Amino acid sequence: MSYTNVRKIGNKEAIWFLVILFVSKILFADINRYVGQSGTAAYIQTIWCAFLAAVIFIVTATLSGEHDIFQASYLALGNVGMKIVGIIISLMLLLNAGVMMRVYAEIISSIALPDASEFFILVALVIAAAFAAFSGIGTLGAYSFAAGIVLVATLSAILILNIPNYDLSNIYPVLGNGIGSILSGVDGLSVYADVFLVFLMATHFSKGTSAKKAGLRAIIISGVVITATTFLYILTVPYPAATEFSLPILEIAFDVNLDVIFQRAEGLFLFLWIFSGFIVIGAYICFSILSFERSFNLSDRRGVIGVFLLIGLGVAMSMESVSLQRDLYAAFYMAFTAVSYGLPLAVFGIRKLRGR
Amino acid sequence: MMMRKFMLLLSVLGILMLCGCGGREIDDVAYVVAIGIDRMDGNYEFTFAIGNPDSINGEGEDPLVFESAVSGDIFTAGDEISARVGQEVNFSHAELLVFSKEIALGGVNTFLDELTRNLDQRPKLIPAVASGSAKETLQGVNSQFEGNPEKYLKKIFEYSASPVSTGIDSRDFLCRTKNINTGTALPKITSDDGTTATSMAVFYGDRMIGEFKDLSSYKLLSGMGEQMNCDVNGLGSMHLNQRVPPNIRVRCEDVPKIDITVILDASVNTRNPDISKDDLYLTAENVLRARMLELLEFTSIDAGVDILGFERYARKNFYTWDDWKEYEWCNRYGIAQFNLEVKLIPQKTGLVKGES
Repeated sequence: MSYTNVRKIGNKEAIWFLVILFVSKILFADINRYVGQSGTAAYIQTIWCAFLAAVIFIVTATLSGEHDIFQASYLALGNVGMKIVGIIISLMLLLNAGVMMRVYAEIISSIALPDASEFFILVALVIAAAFAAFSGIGTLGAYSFAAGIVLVATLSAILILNIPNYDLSNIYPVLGNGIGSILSGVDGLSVYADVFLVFLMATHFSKGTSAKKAGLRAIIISGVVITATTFLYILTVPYPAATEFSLPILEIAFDVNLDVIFQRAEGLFLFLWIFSGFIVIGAYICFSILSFERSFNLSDRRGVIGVFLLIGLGVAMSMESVSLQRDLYAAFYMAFTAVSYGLPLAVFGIRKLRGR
Repeated sequence: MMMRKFMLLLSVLGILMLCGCGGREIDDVAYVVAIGIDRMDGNYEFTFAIGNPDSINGEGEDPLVFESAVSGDIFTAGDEISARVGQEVNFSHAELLVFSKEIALGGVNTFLDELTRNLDQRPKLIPAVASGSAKETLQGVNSQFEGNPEKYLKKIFEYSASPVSTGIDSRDFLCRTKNINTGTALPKITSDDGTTATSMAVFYGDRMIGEFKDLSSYKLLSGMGEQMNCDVNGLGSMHLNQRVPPNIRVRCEDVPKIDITVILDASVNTRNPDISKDDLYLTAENVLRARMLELLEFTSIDAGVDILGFERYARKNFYTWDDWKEYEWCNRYGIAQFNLEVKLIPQKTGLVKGES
């Protein structure tokens, strides 16, 4: 089953696929990091980061022309260069899939299934990833179109149910820790790092789908969702206490209490968590295999799916605990961000220069 | 097509299997509705008021069963009691957290922190201080007119319209302990009747530093939507209803100037024939103003702690946290000047005109 013989992805599917990957990041500690850096102006930092991500993406997409990253690396760096780029991307995504498996499994185990073995939760995630890998990117895209809307709607439901608990005075002082902190908070770009996946998808796009449009629109939609969520988190939990909660959306969900009508919204958070977990891990595994397949020109990706899943599971199980290895995880996350933005920019830049 | 329908049916049937009590039946769980904490021989005595399912909404036995254990923390005490009663102690329905005065004076952050970390426990637990022993205070809880003790405690302590509520839950309290510019007021309840708030306990950080008798002035200045009947120096009585929060403006000059306008709907209950209706309103305004000023001066001059949260309005005058910190609100609040205005809006509805 070659990559040229699979279901194609349309504009809307690509947009919502990326939106899920971006927005799922704020289910983790990313909002907390924004608040830690910029204080009460965290939501301004999210706007700044979305703007920066959009600018970098536009530059990269403009340099890419009509090529995907494999075609561009072949033209710029030759066959060996393309293989090296493919292996870097494949490994990076595979490692990320393993780390994400562990993070998702730990949180599901802590919040919803404290008596369940983490191994079984990991196996459930691996099965979901296997389903995504066998179905391919086209199916993942089609699924994401519906799933993305459900994800944003569920997140909106949590935020709307919490309206009685918002305190507008929490946003003062309006510039938080200062303009310097806002502008220097560029590590918030990591939320949009997965945008580079559109440069892997080009051959899967249906006619009329544009990587540039899809990526840009996904950044704008996610930027609005992330900024609104960060803003409403600040209205819910006052600074400086807001920096101390590790799962901000869960805190908002905890706070929901509409008298006797609706008293608990943690279930909605858990739904978001599990829902996004399956898609995010499935996407990383799927694109890791795609990258390997393209680099080595495999005729059938199904042969390597089992090995990739086992490696992902091995990475997840080799981590003793995400809490214990928080620093390692943070370092990996930053490296992933740097490569996600830097590698496509370098490959497309070199191709452009050589093309002249 | 048949296969798809079969899969859909299987998925829907699968959902039915997701409900349940996580492997335990509801009558195997001891639901704690209130927690009392006392000091005991260098350790802590935790008293749990546990809902008695056999008598909730029924007749006969007391709907609450009390169990105590001496331990270093709430959850270890919970384990000990679980082993003793043969049921798993669960804190997810807890409504009330009572500290003995001795515990409150020594600091309560350890308990707030552990309850916030525990995901079973929602942040809506209402903290209160007992005038004596927390155990005796809990044992005094007597829900004569309400068969469900959890609902009873919710009515008494959680609803802002309740006369004994200060509108602070455990997470609000935790957030305030992290903010050096503000304090907290908690209901202080008597030992013999665990529902009567005789006064309020004033906290700075996590330690109780004093108490103040007049809870209704606190509620009016906090804008908690107080409805109350007010005696006007023996000249009559009025029903007051706070429909809009106080209008507060803080000017951050060398001496902070705090302008407060409290607007209340008022209707006459009784009136001494010797006083005109207009004079009764005027006198009522003066009485209320004097009571509120007494509270403001207590917080400012005596306690030196901004329990009413004027710092939220003061922060609007600053652009960054550095500027705000430099102003040192916590030190300047002690010399703040209050300009308090109380306006009673006569209500024209009613059966008796009673003009003289």
